[in-house]
Amino acid sequence: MGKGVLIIAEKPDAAQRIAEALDDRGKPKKSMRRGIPYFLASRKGESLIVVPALGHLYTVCQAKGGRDDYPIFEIDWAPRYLAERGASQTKLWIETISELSKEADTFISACDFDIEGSLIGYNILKYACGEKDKEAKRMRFSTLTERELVKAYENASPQLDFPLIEAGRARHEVDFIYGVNLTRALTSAVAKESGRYFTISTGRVQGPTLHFVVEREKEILSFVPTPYWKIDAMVKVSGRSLEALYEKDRIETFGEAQEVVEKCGGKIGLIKDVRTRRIAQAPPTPFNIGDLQAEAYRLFGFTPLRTLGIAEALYLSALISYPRTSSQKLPATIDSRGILEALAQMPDYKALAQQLLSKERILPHEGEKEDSAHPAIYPTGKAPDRELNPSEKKLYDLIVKRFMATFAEESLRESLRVEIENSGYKFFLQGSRILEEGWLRFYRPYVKGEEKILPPLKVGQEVLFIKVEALEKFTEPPPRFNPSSLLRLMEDWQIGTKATRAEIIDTLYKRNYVRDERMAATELGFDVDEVLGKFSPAIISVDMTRELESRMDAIEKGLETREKVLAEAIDRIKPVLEELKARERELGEQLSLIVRKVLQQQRSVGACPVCGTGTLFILRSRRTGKRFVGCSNFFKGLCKASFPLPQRGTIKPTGDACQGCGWPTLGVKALGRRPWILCLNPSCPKKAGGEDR
Amino acid sequence: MNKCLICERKSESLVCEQHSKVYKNILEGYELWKKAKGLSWNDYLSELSENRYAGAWVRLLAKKMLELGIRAP
Ligand SMILES: [Zn+2]
Ligand SMILES: [Zn+2]
Ligand SMILES: [Zn+2]
Repeated sequence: MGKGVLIIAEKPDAAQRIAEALDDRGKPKKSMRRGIPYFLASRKGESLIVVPALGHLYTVCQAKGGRDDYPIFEIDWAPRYLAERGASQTKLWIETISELSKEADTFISACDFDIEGSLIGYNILKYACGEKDKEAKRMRFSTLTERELVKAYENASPQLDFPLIEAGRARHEVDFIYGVNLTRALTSAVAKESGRYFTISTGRVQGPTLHFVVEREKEILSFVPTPYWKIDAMVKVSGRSLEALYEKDRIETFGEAQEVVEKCGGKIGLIKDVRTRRIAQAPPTPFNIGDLQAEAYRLFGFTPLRTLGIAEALYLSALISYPRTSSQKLPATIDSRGILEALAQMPDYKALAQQLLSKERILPHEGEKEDSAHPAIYPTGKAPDRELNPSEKKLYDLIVKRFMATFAEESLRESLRVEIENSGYKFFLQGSRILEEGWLRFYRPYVKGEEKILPPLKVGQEVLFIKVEALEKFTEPPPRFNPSSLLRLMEDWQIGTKATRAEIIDTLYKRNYVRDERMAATELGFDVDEVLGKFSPAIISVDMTRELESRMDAIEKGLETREKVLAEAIDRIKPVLEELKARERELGEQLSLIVRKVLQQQRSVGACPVCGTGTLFILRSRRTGKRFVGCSNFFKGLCKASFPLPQRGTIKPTGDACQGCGWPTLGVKALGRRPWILCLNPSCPKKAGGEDR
Repeated sequence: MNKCLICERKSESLVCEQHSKVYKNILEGYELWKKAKGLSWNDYLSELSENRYAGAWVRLLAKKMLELGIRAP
């Protein structure tokens, strides 16, 4: 008997689905080596070994030199356990795959079909399997359903997708060179100046993204509102009170607003015109990942990263197609009718799916955006083979309903506009009703479709103005970004990729550059952005990053080589790094001030409520080594306030006052517990009923 | 005057370069407020320093300008 076929999947769940789909009896044998799972299947006399990766097992690293050296332009790929702390697990995976590869003579990459997946498979084939990248085949699929996996296996392409792989390598290499050199430049400037080791990170995409947030924050902080007035009017007609809109949305002077109030209040107006208009609204387009993230944020408050994680889980359960897609199109090959037939078997979707199936033609209302590798996100129609958690249920329902809505008819609304004249001024009544629901019915409750029915009205009819008031309003500053709107902005500017954007936003939070859901730049974020802007504007400008993105897209399209783009990227960053090095002292001085401020703030809890003049700090007892909170006035002999702290977990001042008593609070995070808020006040009223949350 | 009224960094004018926009916005805003409600300069600064839509830098600077009795240019 000959050797077997080694199939590399991206994750354990995917490996299992692939093995189950390809095994003649649907029951592959699960095995373990070094604690790493893999699956043995047999298909038409062939023996298959399906082994998962664990995402990336290899990473870019510097080819030589120490941890603090920069600039670094010579790079290499290495197993993650050699290059990163905390990646020791990858050693077991690589050794296991390496061993299994000796039992095979045919190799297939079945990792997710996109840049990251193609690169994961390539690295494993090249480094763990002994240069099998040149002979390996590639399975391409968008769902983990049996039907599609079998097709992907039978029609595997004879070689790997090298343009994608090269684009992936280039991305990782460029990002490594930017990230490592810039971060080291900043960190080492601080270390040389202050002797402190404090990481100040930035990156090719991170710098400009932080800059967006800082610029918006500055706009808000510098905003001067302008007053204007709005007329608030009600009329009585056919026994009903209705809101009337004044012809001008905003009135710029108080005088003019007063005049309208004085002349129109309590008067009789005359209906001059009644006009109806029909408005057709097209169905929504199929979800791509950005659309799904925006909608899940709007409806459920999920951050983009969370939505991506949930969608990934649904994909691994073969319930939806691959979520990291830019496409808003559903090609005929996905067999929409078959999917609707399957959905019609599910009680929740039966009625709606059957309505669509009764249509002669089942055509989606597609959007403009495309993706060379995957269609838009769609449900596979497969019934879940496990219990979904509440978040998964929500997202799944949204995806199914969106899918169905795209095949529905447009909705038709009739809007009614009634013009009323009062003392030479114009007012309007507005009504609207739905004539044909169309797609609205399929997308409820995610679309409201509200109606406002007016009583019958005709020209010449009189109406009494029962209220005419002028309300003073102010123009408002632009809104803060939230993770969803920031991700949209990154998409619009074409920086980052659909795979990395959500993660970069998350990094801004982790680095304490931004805080809160309505993203506000922190003082640290402000300071870092300012210093970067001063010493090398290119790092925070969107232009350099964007140009590089388009060069990397060119590799993916096979129009450019990785080597060339990498060389260009180095040419761009070199002068930036030289400048930073030449001004290292000055840079170090400014950054050190920032670091000092941050370290101080991290320990500062708030004003001392006991003496009223000191500041509370997190301190450590010299005698017992235990941490506690004490007052800065202690050393002056003015205040003895001191409060015990939990000794385990991480503690961070929240900056917010306790809602029960107004004392400063701390956030506590300990392993295996929900994070909680600690009020320092020993006799806080909120503590009576147990632990403060 | 040698400190920015907002951030206390060294500055030759009322505010440092980084905060010059705030000062400019306050001056430009006054033209609109005067036209809208016929306010005096001091009443404008006083309203602005308490307006919930005004940025924190604007409120702070308006308050300090009021305290220091800085007149409309
Ligand atoms: Zn005290
Ligand atoms: Zn309390
Ligand atoms: Zn300033």
